Amino acid sequence: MKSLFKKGMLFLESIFKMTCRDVFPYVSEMLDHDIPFIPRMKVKLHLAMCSVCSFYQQQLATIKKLSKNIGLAQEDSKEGPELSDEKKLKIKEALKKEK
Amino acid sequence: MNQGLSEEDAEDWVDKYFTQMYRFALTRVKDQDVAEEVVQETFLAAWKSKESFSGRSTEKSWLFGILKHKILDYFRQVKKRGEIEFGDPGEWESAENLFQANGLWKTPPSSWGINPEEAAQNVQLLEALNQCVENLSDRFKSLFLLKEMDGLTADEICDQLEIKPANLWVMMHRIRSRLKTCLESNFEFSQSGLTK
Repeated sequence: MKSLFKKGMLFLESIFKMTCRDVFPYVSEMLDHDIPFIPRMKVKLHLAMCSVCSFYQQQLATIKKLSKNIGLAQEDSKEGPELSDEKKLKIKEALKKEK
Repeated sequence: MNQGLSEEDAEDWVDKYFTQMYRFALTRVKDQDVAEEVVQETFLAAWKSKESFSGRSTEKSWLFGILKHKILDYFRQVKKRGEIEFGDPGEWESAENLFQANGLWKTPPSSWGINPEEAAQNVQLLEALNQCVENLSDRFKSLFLLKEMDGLTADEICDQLEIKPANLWVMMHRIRSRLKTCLESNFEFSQSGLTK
């Protein structure tokens, strides 16, 4: 029982010992993939207590969201070079050869 | 399975999507001949695998999905030729410079006053970010486009470009950090929202 209590206290201490510098690399990495449970909880608790790191996380998340929208908009781009019918014909011919 | 696609359907794809796909490819490979070639390869690959088009996605998203993988394959060849090295994250000295000895921020980030959903609707901000992406190095721009704009998975990118996942996370952080700095120098964010 004592050992469990000690472990719990050490875990809490490790959370409160986490600095903004310690959390920094995880803030971006968590936007890319799930990190293991313990460091994830430590980071989430730090973010809940630290508005500065929380702002940083929101900014990176905003950049991610905006980027996805830019990519989707580029699929419907109305601006850019027009291609000649000759080029289209060339591809149609290549497709016919595959049929 | 969709075996109902006809030869006319394939020609119809070219008429409907060629220009859009070419423009999209050109923003990524930056060479007209390469962009044309990549799009042509996409149509040929789509025709050969027409049975895989299930109709669950739209024709357009299916074709663009193939195109994005052809663009990734182009960058794999670029890497193979030794023109760009994607695997090395390099040093990131500025990360250390961001913090004091006690682990606190030297210049603490402040709120942009706008949530991601609101920001995504702001045309000026989208344009500013796009310009910041253009200013990245070729290597970082390619990685960012493939992963964040084109939505390819980290596994696909790491596998094709021979990047260790841990190095990809570091590079993505560096890229996002640069884009954040670039946006903040081009726009004034305030508590009440975005102003140019």
